[in-house]
Amino acid sequence: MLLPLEWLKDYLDIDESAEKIADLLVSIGMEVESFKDTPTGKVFEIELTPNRGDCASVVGLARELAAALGKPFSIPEREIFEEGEPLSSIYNVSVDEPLFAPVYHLRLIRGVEVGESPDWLKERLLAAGQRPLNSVVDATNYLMLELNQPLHAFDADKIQGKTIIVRRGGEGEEFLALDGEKILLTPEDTVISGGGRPIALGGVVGGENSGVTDKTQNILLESAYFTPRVISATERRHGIKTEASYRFSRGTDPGGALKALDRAALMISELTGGKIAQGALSVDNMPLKGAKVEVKVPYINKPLGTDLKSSHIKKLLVPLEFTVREEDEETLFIEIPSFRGDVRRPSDIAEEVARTYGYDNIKSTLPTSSITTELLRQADPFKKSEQVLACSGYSQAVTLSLSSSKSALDAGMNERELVFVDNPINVNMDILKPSILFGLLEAAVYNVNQGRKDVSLFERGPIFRKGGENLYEREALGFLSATEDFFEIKKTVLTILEALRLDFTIDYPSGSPLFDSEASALIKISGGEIGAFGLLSENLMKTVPNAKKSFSGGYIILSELLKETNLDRKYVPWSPYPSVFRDISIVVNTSLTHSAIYDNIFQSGGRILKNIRLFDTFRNERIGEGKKSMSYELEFNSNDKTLTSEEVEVKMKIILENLEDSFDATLREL
Amino acid sequence: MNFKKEYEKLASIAADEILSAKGREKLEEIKIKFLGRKGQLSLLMKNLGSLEAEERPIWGGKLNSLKKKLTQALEEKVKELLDESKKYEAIDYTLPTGDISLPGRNPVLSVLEDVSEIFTEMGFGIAYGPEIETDYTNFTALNFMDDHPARDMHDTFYLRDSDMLLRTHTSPVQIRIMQNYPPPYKFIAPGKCYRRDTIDASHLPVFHQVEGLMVDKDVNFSHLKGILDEFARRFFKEKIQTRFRPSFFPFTEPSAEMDIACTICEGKGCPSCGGNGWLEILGAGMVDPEVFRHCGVDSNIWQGFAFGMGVERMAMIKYGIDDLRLFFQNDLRFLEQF
Repeated sequence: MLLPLEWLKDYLDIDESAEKIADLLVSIGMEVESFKDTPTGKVFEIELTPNRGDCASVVGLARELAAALGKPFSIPEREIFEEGEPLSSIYNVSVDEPLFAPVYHLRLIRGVEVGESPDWLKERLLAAGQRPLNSVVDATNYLMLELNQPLHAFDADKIQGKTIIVRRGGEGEEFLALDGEKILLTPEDTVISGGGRPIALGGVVGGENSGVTDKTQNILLESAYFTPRVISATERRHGIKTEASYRFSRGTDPGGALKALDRAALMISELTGGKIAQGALSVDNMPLKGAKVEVKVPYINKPLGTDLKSSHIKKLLVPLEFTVREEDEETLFIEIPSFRGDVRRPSDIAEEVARTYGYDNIKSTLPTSSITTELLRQADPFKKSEQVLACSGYSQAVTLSLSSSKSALDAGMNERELVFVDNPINVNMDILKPSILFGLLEAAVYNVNQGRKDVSLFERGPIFRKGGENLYEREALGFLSATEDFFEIKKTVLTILEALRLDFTIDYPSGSPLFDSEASALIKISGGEIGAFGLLSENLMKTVPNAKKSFSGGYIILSELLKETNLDRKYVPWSPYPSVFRDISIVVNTSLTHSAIYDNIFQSGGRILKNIRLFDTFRNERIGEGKKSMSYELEFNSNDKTLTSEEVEVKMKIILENLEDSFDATLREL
Repeated sequence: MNFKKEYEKLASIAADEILSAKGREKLEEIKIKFLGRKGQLSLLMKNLGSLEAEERPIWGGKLNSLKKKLTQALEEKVKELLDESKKYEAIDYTLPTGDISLPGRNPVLSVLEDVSEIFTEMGFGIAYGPEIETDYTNFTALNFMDDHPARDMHDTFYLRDSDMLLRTHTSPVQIRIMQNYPPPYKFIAPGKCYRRDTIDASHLPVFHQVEGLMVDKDVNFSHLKGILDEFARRFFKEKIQTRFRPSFFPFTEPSAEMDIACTICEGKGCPSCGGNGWLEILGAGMVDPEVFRHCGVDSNIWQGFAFGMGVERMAMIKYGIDDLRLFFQNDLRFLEQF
């Protein structure tokens, strides 16, 4: 809200600089966004917290400021001058739904001449950001800005009948607002009706049928306390927000509505020459307008870390119009003013004390309590996987977790597994990422299109799938590289799995729609799938526009590994005896895989076979069509003794025989 | 042979030849010629027998000292030639190595790691929670009123065919921990959060937050200031100036916002801090008794504070980044700077 410094001076003496006032406002929780010089003086722009509706007014802020400065504060009072027939003998008011409008007041001003407002009023309104319209509207706006009490002026002659009813709206009842917009009411809306038809959507906007114009002669002026919850529901339901609804939904002062009405009536009468009818029509269903709270002094000091005496607390609260009675040294009885609907509980009092005592005056100390939270303090078991990727030249990316269902479906994912957002910002972000590769691929393609050649990215983040009625959120690690070399990505994957000390198996090919049908593989642990890698499938590549290059990549579902990773590792001593190395070269059918040969050798080798390393493979005319040569170096070792040549030769013989038997392999002559 | 004549000849020319040798190959030849197994010196040694018995020790001694002298001369010459060759074959140590490429890091995550490290050093544990949350844990238990605007479809993402939502802050982790473990508590909860904002330079629908909670029998507002001041000193610099001012959050009371003196103008006022010399960095406050009640924690016994900060904002301040979109674009030219 905009707060003109000159206006503040109606209620307290100010000789401090605008900078000082701004600092002071900030220190009591009224954030000053800026202050500007205007032709009519300095104006502060203040960002209010939602609990302080009362400070959306000049008086509210003046009261706070006077308390902070330790200066007297008062609202200049003037007596209301009434004449003519009493209002109660002309009009009736009936509040049919007191839950919606617990306090409701009306006054009548007769014989007004609506015109332009005087310059001083127009200037004040402009300084506070309000456009002047005519003397009646300007007066109600002025009071709203001064006291945070929205008022509504009806043209009395346009209202049929003499009974004003405050009630719930009818289901589908039509209402035409001041700006000409048609609203279909519901029973959850507050309606002011006259002569059987709605003349205002209570607390929100007046009706077109009863608005004040230049020709208006008699005015019914309304000042009420509307229930905040009801007003904010109406705002949302109909998508209307007005100055009045903003204030009512934050809470106005139920105890101040009548005073505001009197001040407004007086002002209108002075500006328009109208005469105020005797008395107001008032319906008050709210006997207790401010809370009463008993607070123990330690209850305030303990959470603040202060040692304030009850007398000190009283001194802090009284200038804010709290009534404080010291029952004994430990106990305070506090009556909270009606404009402070935000203060209801002892903890609210503690907050007021802290705020007015000053956060700066509370010492900054480190806690002495030593809390052990071992339960929550676990090392990240997957940190190593990120280190491996960084060492392999992968940069760390973070992408939005929202992605497009169209891309997911085009890439071959199952619609039933996708988790849809009900209210997406746009269609490109209508699901939660079902695979960690999605945002990552876009980022990788973006970088290639920026002219980068060596693009390698990884991301660790959540992925989301639906399984029946259940939603699954799991942590995944994804990595992509601008390479078509399957073995490069395979090496990265194996390094990660080794670094995490996992017992894994690899199945070829992956069968996943995200990867190539041949150059891909699945990673399994205890038979369960935990990831996949390979060249990316064409369908996946097509989901990103302008992808000119192919990528390889992979993912690992880290959440699935949690039970498999064991951080408690024990040292294992190595053999003090030298290893014996033997080479073996065999010729086999080209269709036979390395992994089959490996497993076979591994089976035959027994405990002393420690390592099997493929060091050469080739095909040529000499070994014949459909055949290939595979050469392995085998390492033998024992923890108990130096192995003899004879022991190793025995094993080598078994290994070769088994290869011959299983695969029809022949020993290649070297 | 004439032993003495041969000796004189060797003694007079050998040293000269060694000193004037050109190149190491030549020197090697000279070495073999004079000092080799079949060299001239060995030959003379073998011929010692041709001398009179009483002359032998004298000449033997002469030969030994000549051998010593020549060996020394040879060693010196080898060294000299080596030094000389170095002069011609000097290595240019300024030549480039292969390309150096350090993988990039996303600054949001490195700041998140820095922040987490500072708090773990101060004894905080780390807790995680799901990003798909319930209305109860994300709002109700945190004392948000039923009609609080944050619950609106305009501000919060809801999931289709489900009553779940995407968490709007990491505060629900507090609730989950308090509901499942007995007090005291001292932990931070880092993670991704979601708000229904359209993407521009200062808004993103996905962002990161670090939330913290410390609850014990006597943890108070003064400790809140102490811990957060210490954090600011460790994260920014030792002599950072901080300011706490009253604010409002549904889940804390009293609530505060913490500012630091602008890192660019040192508090004098500049465009970065909107001219007022302060940068807002986090929100905090004493846990509202209502939140404790929802978690089954007795607020007559336990009290404590909570705080929360936006990680992107911290990274923007730390590295002088002015556009939020950079964090999620993953341009390598950006990532490689961190």
